[in-house]
Amino acid sequence: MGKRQLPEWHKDLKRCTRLYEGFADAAPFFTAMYECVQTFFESRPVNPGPPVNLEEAEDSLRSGTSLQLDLQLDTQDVVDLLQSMSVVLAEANPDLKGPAGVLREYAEQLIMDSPERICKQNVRDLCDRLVADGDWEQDLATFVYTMAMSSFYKRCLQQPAAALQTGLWTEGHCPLCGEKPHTGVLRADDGAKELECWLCGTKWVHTRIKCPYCGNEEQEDLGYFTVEGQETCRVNFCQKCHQYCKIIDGRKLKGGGQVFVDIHNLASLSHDLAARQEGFTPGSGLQWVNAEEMACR
Amino acid sequence: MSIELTRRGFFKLGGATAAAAALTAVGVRKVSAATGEPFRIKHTKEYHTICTYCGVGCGIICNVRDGKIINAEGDPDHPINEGTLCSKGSSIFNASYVYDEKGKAELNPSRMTEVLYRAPKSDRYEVKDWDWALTEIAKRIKDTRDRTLVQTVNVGGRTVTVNRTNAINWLGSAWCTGEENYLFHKMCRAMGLINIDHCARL
Repeated sequence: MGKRQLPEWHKDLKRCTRLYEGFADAAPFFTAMYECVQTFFESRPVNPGPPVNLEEAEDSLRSGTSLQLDLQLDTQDVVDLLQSMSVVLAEANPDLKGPAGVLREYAEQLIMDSPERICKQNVRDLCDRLVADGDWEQDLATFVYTMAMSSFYKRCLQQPAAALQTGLWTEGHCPLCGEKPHTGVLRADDGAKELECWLCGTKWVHTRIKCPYCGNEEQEDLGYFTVEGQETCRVNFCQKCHQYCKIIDGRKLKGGGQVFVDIHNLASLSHDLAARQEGFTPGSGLQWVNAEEMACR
Repeated sequence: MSIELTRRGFFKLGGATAAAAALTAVGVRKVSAATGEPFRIKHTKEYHTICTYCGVGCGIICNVRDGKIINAEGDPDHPINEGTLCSKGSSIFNASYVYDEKGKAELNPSRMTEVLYRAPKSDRYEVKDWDWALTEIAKRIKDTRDRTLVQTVNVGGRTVTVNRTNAINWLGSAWCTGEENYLFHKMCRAMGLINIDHCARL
């Protein structure tokens, strides 16, 4: 029997263990989580999102207006995924059994509140409550929220994301769903800055020296920093709006292959902490740093 | 009391959620393992510029750290070169440096970083600011133009208005945009210049 071929994301995750100090310790957990999500959707294919009229979409992108697609997801599907993720959490560390149980319990509450359909905001509210009630830290809540929602959005919006004429789009937020990106890539072949929506995975090229969040192009206000020894990830910042995003330098990645920016993002959360300590906030609105991490300096 | 609160209370009483669950519990580390401190960071700024070698005028992004250029690369957003550079342009970073016999790079002391002016009959340069230089250039262009302007010429016994000067030659630049060169050309014609050229020779 032939050996099962490793998925592309697995190769990039392995590469990240070499590129980012300390990521090897967390890699087994993220591997288990990605495998859990993959298995979940293999057994339960999702329905494609609403059809997108590409001609109208083109006009919309030309005028700088995002399509702002907000999916109505099957509540049971979302709850089942969250519960599968909670199992992985509990298995990763015995200390997480309690918090994983709380997640399952909160997820069940979703069915009672909205038995048919829910949107991403409902899941966000759930994660915010986990943090507000003191059961979860912000970074874990952000991880579960982004992982769960992007898993649905990337699968539901795969077709329009691929067909969309993103070359017409010059804004800093996603042309398809309107979310603000947290990460991007400097393309290996031409060095262009390609932003990637954390939610639906749509990619688009954005001017290199320009803030995606406030549109500032003043060179003196813009810059980036790198962490010593981990230069693959740049933290681009704007001193006008004081926001940051992380850009993976694809030219520094050896071995080719697909770049999974969400994995690079998880591998470089130390950069988020550094950015926060430098006085910048995430332009995406995704909080990857906990309050006490900010305090201990 | 609702079921939800009862179950949550159970978890809390069990001590399982005494400390809020964070990504550190699954091995994520945001600080250095060796020191427990945040990692050291290096700030860099990016600046647009235009390649100075030939008339194509390729866009370049210079990476500057602590006031020194650490890298220069093709500007992917520039319509002319779209991120590429020729072999000369790729090495333009070296214009900032000179190398000693052992190959060690030092900042090029001959690189002009400020306005230098040598007065007539002087044997040395003086450092001036840009406002002074631009005012002086404008003043001398006007003086020369006023002094040498030919308003009319006789063509076959007929007086023809020409309003031109042969005393000034304008060399435009392929490194400017088409719109900028259009404006320069209009300005030259308005001043009466007829010797107008530029450096594109490809």
